Amino acid sequence: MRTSPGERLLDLAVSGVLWGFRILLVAAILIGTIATIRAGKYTSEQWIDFVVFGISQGSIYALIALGYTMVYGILRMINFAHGDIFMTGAFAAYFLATWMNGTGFIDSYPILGLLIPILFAMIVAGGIAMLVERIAYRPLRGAPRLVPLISAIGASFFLEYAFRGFFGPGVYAYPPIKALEGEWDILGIGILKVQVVVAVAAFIMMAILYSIVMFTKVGKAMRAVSESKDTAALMGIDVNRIIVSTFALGAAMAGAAGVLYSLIFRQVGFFMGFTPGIKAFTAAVLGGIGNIPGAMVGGLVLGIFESVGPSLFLEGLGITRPYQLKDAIAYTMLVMILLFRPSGILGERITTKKA
Amino acid sequence: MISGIFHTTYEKDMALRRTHAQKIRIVIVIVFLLVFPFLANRYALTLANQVGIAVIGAIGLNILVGYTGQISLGQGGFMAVGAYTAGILTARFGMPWWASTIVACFTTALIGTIFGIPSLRLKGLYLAIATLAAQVIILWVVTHWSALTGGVDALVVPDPKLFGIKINTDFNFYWVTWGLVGIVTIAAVNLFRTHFGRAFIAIRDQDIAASVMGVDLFKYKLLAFAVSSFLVGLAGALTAHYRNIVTWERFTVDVSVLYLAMIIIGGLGSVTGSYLGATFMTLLPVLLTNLGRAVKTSFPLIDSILPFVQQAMFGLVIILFLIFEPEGLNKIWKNIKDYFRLWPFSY
Repeated sequence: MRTSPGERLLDLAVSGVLWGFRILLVAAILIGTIATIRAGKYTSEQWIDFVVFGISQGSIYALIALGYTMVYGILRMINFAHGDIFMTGAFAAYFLATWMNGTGFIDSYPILGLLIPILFAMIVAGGIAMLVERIAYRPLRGAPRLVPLISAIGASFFLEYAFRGFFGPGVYAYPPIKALEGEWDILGIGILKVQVVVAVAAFIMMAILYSIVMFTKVGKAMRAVSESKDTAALMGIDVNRIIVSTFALGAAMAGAAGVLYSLIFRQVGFFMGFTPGIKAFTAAVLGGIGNIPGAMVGGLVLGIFESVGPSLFLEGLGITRPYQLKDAIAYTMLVMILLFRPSGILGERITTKKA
Repeated sequence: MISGIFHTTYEKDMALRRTHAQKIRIVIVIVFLLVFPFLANRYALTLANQVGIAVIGAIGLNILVGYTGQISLGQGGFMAVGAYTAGILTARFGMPWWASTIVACFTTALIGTIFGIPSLRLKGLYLAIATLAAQVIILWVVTHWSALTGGVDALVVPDPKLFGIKINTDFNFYWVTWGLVGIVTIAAVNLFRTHFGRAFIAIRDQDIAASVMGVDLFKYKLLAFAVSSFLVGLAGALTAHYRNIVTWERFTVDVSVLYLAMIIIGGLGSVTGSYLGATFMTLLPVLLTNLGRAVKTSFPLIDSILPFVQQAMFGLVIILFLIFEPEGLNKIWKNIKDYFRLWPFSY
């Protein structure tokens, strides 16, 4: 399309600037890393702590990211309200867990006291997601691509402020589970119990989801619908039902993630879905959106990067209080991936049809 | 029998005001705007100023989203750039308010263009997220760069002055706001009679086709970001001078969503729509509050929930408009006009 030498020169200049930017970024990370390691401020045990924290947080991102990626895979839309569905799950679990804590149930049966709120959160989140799909997305399915996105933003806004309206702007403390306090000694390294439990729970959930998608009839139908809605309908698949179940499944994962998140951070509030939502989206894009293993890998990579990054390369670059820049790392990463490799780590090249 | 409006000459087709009725309506609106401040009380004037600023911001966003088809969730961030530039220049460096406003517009245009660069590669959803990242990054810089912006503390801006008169009342500021609204409106309407505006619309409708027709996507997309951010910066700067105070809380993601709601509800790709949407969304909370007061005695529960549900209403209103009237208030307005023009023989 471009032919004139002036425009070709401009193209060259743009790609030159972009390449310069990449090289600069990699150089900054390398220099920072080397400087930090030479300074030797952190012991190897602290590094392991960072990584473990990164894994447990990353597995939560991965759980949320699955919902983004599955819905994208089927409808080619970003469910912007997903972060808020995560929040509804956390709220549901909070109320149940507080009540259970009041009766002393959690202390006597810690495992059930963990599992029942998770299950409840999954059901509530799944139900709300189904409602959102029915009200805000389904009537707009034939509309131009931008329209469902805006509608999703509206849904996100509605959920956030409806919850604020009902439960106030304050932050609630998730009841403590005594069995999860303290550390476990694994190979001579003390690791917080909560983090292990969260990571393990998240991995189990991911395994369940993966087997549902790969080995059940519903999962097969989901994959068929994401290939082509029309062909799937011709094969006798009820497309609407599959879309709803995709929403519900993704939302159930987000609801469970909401409980795990509140186990680590112990705070439940109406705005809690925003940041994890964006970060999980970053994770989904990082792994290649529409790609289920990609979302898991992306979540873990983002979590570890975010947890290790500030002290690894930001501090080496002479930035004081690098932990404040934690969120900035995720956002910078997001923009960089979108610019340089929008298909993500495991994704295929995105064609204009999908973008 | 007139079945529609048909122009027989190019001059008429290109004209800014195409019909006689349009001219009469414009005169009525202008007369109303001129008389309004003398009749209204202070509260109504405050609302009028808010609406005016919102109209400028909405027109700015509509140029980008409605006319060029590049979605932006960075509105709040860009407004923050405008407000903080104007505020800092006036408060710290003693620049006159009009000069700082102009500088703020250009600064915002520059920043907007920089954040618009990803639009060359990203479309739709991805662009929405990239502009959301712009919003988050700008707000993060604002709250953390305390030396310049005052961080999370409010920045106090002195009263603006014009010809030695302090513009510290709503009545005085009304003329500034609505004078600028007038200029912006004329500029925006005219923009879409030039080749720039038509290039924007071509990009919105089909970017590949536009590029084949010789529209330089790189140039015009960035230009759209620049023009749009320029106006958004103006809205931000006006907020700073009007409120005499700049805080980051006024420029959160909520603001981005609010403005997006305005132009969707008003009507994408329409200046009239920007007016209608901005007015509707600014007055909606007021209406809801009054409604709450009216039913307070009979339904005390509604009154206690209402203030919180107000913002939730924005989300609901966006969804409802998308489903039932995707072309917004502007379309409803057109339907009303058509109904009366064709009356009593519709169809």
